[in-house]
Amino acid sequence: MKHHTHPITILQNMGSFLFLLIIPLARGALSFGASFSEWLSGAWVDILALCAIIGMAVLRWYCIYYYFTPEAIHISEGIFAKHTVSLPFSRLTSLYLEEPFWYKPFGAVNLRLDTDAGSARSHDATLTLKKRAAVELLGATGVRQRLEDVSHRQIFMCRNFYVVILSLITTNYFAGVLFCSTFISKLGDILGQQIADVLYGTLAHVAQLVAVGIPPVALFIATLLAIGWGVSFLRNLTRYYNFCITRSQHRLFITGGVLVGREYTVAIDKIHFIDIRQTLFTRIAQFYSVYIKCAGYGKSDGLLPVLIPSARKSTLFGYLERLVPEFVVTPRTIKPNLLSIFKFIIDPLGFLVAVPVFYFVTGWLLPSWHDLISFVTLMSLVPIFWFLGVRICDFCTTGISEKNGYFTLRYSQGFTLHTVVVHRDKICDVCCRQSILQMGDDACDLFLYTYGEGVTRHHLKNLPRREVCALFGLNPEKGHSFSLSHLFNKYN
Amino acid sequence: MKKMPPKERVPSGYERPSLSSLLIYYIRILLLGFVYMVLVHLFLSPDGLLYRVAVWVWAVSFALLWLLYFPIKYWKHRYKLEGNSLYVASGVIYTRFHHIRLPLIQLVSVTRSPLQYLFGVATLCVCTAGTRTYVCNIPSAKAAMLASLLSPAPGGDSGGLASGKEGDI
Repeated sequence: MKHHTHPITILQNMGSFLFLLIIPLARGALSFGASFSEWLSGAWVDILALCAIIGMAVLRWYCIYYYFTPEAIHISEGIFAKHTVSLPFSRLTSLYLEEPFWYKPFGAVNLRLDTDAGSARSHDATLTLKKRAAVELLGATGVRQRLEDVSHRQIFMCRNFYVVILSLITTNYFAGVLFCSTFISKLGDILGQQIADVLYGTLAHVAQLVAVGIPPVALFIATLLAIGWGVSFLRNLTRYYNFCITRSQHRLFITGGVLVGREYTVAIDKIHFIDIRQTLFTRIAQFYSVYIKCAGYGKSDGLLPVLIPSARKSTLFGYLERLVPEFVVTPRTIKPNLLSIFKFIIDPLGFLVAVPVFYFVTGWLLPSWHDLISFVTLMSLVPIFWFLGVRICDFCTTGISEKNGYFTLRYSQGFTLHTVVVHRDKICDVCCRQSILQMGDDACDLFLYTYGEGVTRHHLKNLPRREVCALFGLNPEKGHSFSLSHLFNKYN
Repeated sequence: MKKMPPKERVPSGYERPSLSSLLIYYIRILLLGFVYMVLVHLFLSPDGLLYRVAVWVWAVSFALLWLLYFPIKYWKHRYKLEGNSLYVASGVIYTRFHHIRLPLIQLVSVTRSPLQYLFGVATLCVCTAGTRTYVCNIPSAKAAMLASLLSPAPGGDSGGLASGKEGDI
């Protein structure tokens, strides 16, 4: 039996045809200056355009329908080009039920379905349904149970204080906005002076205006950035407020959100890996955040695939044992030797060397800009030293270990420290790379690729090559090519 | 000297798309050509050198596409469902062979454009975790049948959200 989506989809569809409004807008522009009766005589064109928008939206809604069998859900859409997608229930990795507050008067919800295939940016299928129809559909197919009916469940409710920590950590431009605000405000003062010195001699009144105008503008931009960060922070906070996870035998039910009610259902066996992340700031403060990689979870609206928003070390492993006991974090057994610290800090040291070179070269080329160059040089040292701190922490923690087919990887990427636990079945490629400099102490860089809607690369630096070969069951005397058959044969 | 038996032009078991796919390609290129010539005529002066260059470029491209590219594209595009795998070959300059194991298929979709509706054909898209493969312009009924055959059956090595339905969640 075919089912249509909620009629509110018509309003969503109208957005696709709003370009037709260009007709009445153009007519209005052309008839500017004409009398009202002249404008009115052509109003039928405007009405026709509006009717076309509504008509096409209704037609598109009518052409979208779905039906389901015990094995799969089939969704068909399109007016001129018909597109039918079949999603087997056995392949679903996650489903996302979203209930924005503006949908509540209409009793509508967004249902988004995902598999390991399809785009990494958008969901495989999105339907706007009546809430009753959505719950009925999912309940009838056994994909989703009422939380009250879940037996043998573990529940994790995150204190909102830790949600605030997560929001602070993950809000875009957190440290960067503070940095840029200071930078731009100070830059405005300097630029004003610089321009006043240079332009006073050649331009009179206009130069004065520019030199006077820039500092307030810089202050305005800095304030705007700070406000932007504040809005982003509040947005993150409302997304994860009242964060709660219920673990059943085969699934995770994740709920949260204030303005928009969110409910994720994630299949445990479809989780590719868990990722425990820290920045330098949270490492000092001893906070950890845990994420999972599962197709569909954390894909829409800039949401993060969070499992545990934030937790102290003393409580983190207890939570992990309750929620994902399959993924066991083990201490590292293979780690870089002490002399390889240089490999880790060479990048930030390179920047530290480049900065004074930049300072002297530009100071020699542009002596009149000395103050500006000094300021920019000084401010650029802040992220470089931060990066150096991250790399030193990376050296102290990098490594790999294995237990019961689960690998624990510790590495850094950018300004973030990662601890990843992944099963061997989720690894699609292993690559070992040894540079000329690494030949001396027989070290190598290890690249592990995990699959799932695109490939994720995990880069571990400067590990002892023989130990890595032994871990993956390879002959260290031979070449550095790995194949998955070696990896699987070791455990079969 | 022994005579060697001639090689099969098409490996056995492979099927080609419907011949109407060639017509669809031709109609598309004609429509594109029409739009192109309208734009050239609107924006370029018929007496100018640029107009003549644009016309000749189109004429050569059209001839190459019509006489070489699309026939080769039709000829080399084939597919076969055998055992537990789907094999698809396609490409003109670079020939691509896809071997897709059925247990790895995540979802399938069938698309029909207006031209495909006219000729009763459709495009089948098969998605695995890492790739997406198309079988273009096959009869609609066959596309629907293949879609139902390629969709993973419940049970077996499936897992996912459908595992553990009754009281075992």
